[in-house]
Amino acid sequence: MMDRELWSEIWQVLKSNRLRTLLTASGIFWGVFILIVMLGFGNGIQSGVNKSMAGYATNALYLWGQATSKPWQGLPPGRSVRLNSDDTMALQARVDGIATLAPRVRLARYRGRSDVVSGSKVTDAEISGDVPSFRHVLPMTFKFGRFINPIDIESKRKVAVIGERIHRDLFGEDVDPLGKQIQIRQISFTVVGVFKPRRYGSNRERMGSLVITPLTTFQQVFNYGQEIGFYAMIPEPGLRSEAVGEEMQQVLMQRHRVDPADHRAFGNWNSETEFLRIERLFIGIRAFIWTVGLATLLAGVLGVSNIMMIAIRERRREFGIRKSIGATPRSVLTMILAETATLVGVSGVLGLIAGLLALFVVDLITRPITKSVDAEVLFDTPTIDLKIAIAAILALGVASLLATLIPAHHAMKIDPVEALRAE
Amino acid sequence: MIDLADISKSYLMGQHSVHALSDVSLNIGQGEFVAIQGSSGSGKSTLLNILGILDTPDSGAYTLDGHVIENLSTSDAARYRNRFIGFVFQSFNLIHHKSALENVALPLYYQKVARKKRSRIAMEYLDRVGLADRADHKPAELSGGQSQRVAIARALITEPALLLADEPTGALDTQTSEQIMQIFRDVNDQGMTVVLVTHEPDIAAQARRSIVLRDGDIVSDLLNGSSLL
Repeated sequence: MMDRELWSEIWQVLKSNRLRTLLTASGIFWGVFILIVMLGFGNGIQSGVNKSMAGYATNALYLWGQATSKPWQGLPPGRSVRLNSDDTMALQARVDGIATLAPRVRLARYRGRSDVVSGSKVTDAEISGDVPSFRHVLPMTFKFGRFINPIDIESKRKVAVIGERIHRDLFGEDVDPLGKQIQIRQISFTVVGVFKPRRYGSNRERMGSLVITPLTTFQQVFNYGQEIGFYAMIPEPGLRSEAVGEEMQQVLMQRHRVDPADHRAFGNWNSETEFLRIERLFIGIRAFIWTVGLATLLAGVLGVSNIMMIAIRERRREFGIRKSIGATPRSVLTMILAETATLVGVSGVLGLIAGLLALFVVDLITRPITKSVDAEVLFDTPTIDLKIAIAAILALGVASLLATLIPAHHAMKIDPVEALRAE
Repeated sequence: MIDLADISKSYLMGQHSVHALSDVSLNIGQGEFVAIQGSSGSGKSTLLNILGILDTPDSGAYTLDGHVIENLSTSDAARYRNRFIGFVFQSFNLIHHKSALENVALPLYYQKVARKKRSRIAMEYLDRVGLADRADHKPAELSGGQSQRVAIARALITEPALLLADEPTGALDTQTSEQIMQIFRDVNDQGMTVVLVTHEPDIAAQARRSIVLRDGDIVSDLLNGSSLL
């Protein structure tokens, strides 16, 4: 159907009315361009946010004991709930759906620091006692050495894994610190590793100031007994951390004789809620982009239909002539539909290419900012799912053809006698 | 060649039905040159449209070159027009965005003749009307006489059985009209059946046969003296 003859006919017609062709084409071009650029930016922002959160397990839950607020089984309110290593074993035995349970204990309060000494140098650090599985909660890589291992826990070795800043301040950036000693509250630990979080996010200084020791060693040397500060927990894939956290609380309430309705006895925080909130935000942004993009495309389609309507009215005489010299109604219809398809197809593809080019330029300009190590911009390379883009253009083509059917049908029905009547 | 038997056609004008043609019977032989005269409203345009298969009669029979023209679908009518009839109009009706050559070649496009062959044949026909040197010009760059000659070339290119002309000189000056009429006489001399509609007696006088229509009836049908020689 689309032979070369038809093509050259179409080309002639489109060329013969440049302004009209240009206006119609620009409507479609613009619609596709806007859709592509907006989708690209949406994806760029989303992957930017995802990247900034990549340093954390996105579904981790933190749970700690506070003070009871209700009397229970003859016990008064106001008792503080202290977690201990037996709780850890009970949780692991009784709560299903826990992928990682990392009991933690800290030397100071949340974000509090203590001095760390090496030779004549002193710096401050957040010191904690941890288990090997903490690595799943804070994904990390190692510049030197290793993380806490089960033997450290088993034999309560006095070893420490230190952050980058501690390493730099106490030993110097290029010095291998493995085997060297650091003192915390006058107790010596052997450095066995220097870690680096997989991503720093906005916490670079803090993440570089951590000193991690084996939980059991920590409890012993700092006189914590069996005490646990709090739990970091990651649920099995597919489970909500909030739900698993709720189960953990039930178990802990029984063990510590807390009123099951006493929600103030435990505190918890989970990044999943934050994560879900951001997810929902993105669903909203996505819906907005598609609404605006499709509305722009729809306007383009209506423009095509409108302009074809006018074009056909203007070309009444031409269609009359064509029919009088042997054009069948079908060939008239085919010609008009082919004209529309060509116009929409070419301008749609040009819009797609221009949109991709624009995204490419944006990427080139923003690359130095977005790709730097401690990027704090919530934007990354804007990307486009080509399948979606092409599907959008195809849908646009079909919609335009449908919209042109009415004026084309009109042209088919033109009576040559009427159309050719001398004016 | 052309056989019209009891052709009637009426139009609805508001409440009234107007008889454009009433029981017109007419016979035109192969190679005739017929002028149909009449004032406006005499039914001559209706007759021409029926002859050209652009319009259908309410009753009566039309036979063209042995084919009964009856109950044609719109696409069949288009095919018959393309094969049997060449049209020449008062206002030339060239397609403005096509060159003279492309206008002449257009009927062959609808016959699915290949582009090169089409152009070659169109060039021959342009040459016959003396416009080979204007092949690449757009209609806007041609004079009225030239445009009409292009239109005639377009009408002739399919080698139709019948050449129909509707006031072909209506928009032209006397001298140019004369040139156009000469072309009609030439193609007629070569055996083409020509029917032209005009309201100008001196144009009609150049045909070999002159038919006068009034109020939908044929009131006279004469062979012109000059043509009998």
